Amino acid sequence: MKLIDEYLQDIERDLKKSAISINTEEVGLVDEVRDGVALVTGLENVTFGEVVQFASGIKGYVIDLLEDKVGVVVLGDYLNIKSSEQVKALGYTLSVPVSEEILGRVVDPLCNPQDNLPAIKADKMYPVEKIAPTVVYRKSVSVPLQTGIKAIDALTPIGRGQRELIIGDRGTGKTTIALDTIINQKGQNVICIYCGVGQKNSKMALVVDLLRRNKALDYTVVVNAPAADSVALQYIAPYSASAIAEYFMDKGKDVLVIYDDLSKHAWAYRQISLILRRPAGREAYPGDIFYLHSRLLERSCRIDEKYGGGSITALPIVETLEGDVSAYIPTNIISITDGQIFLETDLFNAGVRPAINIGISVSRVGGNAQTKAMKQVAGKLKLDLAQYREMAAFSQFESDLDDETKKLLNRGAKVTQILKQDKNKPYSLGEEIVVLWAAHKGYLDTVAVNEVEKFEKRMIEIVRMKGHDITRAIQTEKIISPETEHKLEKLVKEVV
Amino acid sequence: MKINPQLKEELKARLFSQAAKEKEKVFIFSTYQLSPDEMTRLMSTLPDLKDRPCINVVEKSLLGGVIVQYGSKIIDLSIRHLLQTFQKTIHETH
Repeated sequence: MKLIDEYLQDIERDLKKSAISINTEEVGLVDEVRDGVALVTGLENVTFGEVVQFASGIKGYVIDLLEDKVGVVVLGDYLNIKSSEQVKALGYTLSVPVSEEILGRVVDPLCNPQDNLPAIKADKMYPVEKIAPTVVYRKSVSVPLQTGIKAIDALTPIGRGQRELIIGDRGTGKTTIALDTIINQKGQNVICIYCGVGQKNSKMALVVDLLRRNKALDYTVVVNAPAADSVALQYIAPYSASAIAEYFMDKGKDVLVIYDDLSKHAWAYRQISLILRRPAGREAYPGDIFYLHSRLLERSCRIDEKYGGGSITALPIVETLEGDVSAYIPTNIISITDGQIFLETDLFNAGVRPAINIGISVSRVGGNAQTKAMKQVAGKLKLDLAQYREMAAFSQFESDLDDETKKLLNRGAKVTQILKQDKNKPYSLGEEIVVLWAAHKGYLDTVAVNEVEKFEKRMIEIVRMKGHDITRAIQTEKIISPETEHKLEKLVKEVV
Repeated sequence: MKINPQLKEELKARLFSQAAKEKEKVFIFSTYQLSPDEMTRLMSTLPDLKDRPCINVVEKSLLGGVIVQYGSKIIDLSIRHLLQTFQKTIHETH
């Protein structure tokens, strides 16, 4: 009751004022409603990206300015919008409420909770669309982001602030790699954001459940724009995720963002563009489809400590059809990112999991961020694998081969075997290096191919049991010192 | 049948100029027909709109007060608007 009294007092106070405040508002009328997009007449002084509100309370934002009309993307249920309904411009660009509270939550692209928990109290509003930091504020990538996956950390290392594309057909383990990376960030002081675009809600439930079971949800935000949502929400989801990431980056934190996946994002944008009757280009995508992704991924960066530090690492995911990387969207995103991890169905079916095709996967900047210890073991591995691939064609005629080639083939097969890894079981840097060191020194050459897995398991067990000093030394020194090497040798001999 | 492009252009230009003329007009919505005196008093508070043609429209749903509309701009001084904002405040604080 007290509250109503307060309102009445407020009203009385307002009435006593002699002058009425005159607010001019910008309005328009709904002309047409198409799938997720409304065309509005009026709104002559509205700006691009401004938020508007329909009389029914639904919000939208301006995406198209025509000669006599304005195209508005509806953020909500567009079926409730009626023709000739009034639309009011709110005078600000689309922003999302962010605060530390958002960690561990599942939200929609407008940061409304989707997990039946109370709404997120805003600390700040962050604009969904923002121009990426300029060169002055940036610093080159030099700190590694450990994915906990041997094959990636050794051969296509990722640094904090890098953009590494995960590309492959459906069911090749793209999301698994991304989620394993999130799980491995526990205690690494990295905030993770998983942005699902056009995914099935059942898949998102699995993702959230997996993160929760691995206690990874505490430092993770899940932004969800499922396939059932309007394309408008799917379209802004990655930008919202980026805005949340920027909030944490501006606090000097390292952030990892996963965009799963950008091919569906491109589809959503294509739909909006076609509805707005923008000229269609290749594969019916609009002309600015490249800019759609480049402006998003350009927001990932590493900020110089002078300007507060922090970084956003992006792992965009793209789904290909029949392994065709030369399609429009894959080529675009390959050229935007700083490298790609290519996953193949054939490898996956052959039991090589993660199914990374090492030959065509690259990381253009991550090498600078790799720890010295990893470089010590990975350099040789890369060479071994490259030679193995070259020779693999001859492997059918094994009897005719000379000893040198046989040795190479044997080494390659073992290295391929040791790079396999179970899902949701990321390794620490120390463990990764111990295993790879054994392969690099040739301790696996005498082990049968089908015994490699067993060997690895036993080795990890022993390392976890009595090799703490070794892993700790590698973890802190970031280099394999002769002393550590000596200890490692003793330990590996025990396993063999 | 093909439409002469020149004709199309001229028609478009005509429509736009007509629309622009329409924008010049100031619409005043009120619950009853305003007297000329009331109109001049109202317009004197809005100096930007002094010389523009004025049209008074009766709209009972305002409950009271006036709405001034010119082009895509609107000044809402109606009781209905006040009540709506009041309702919104209550809704948002609860």
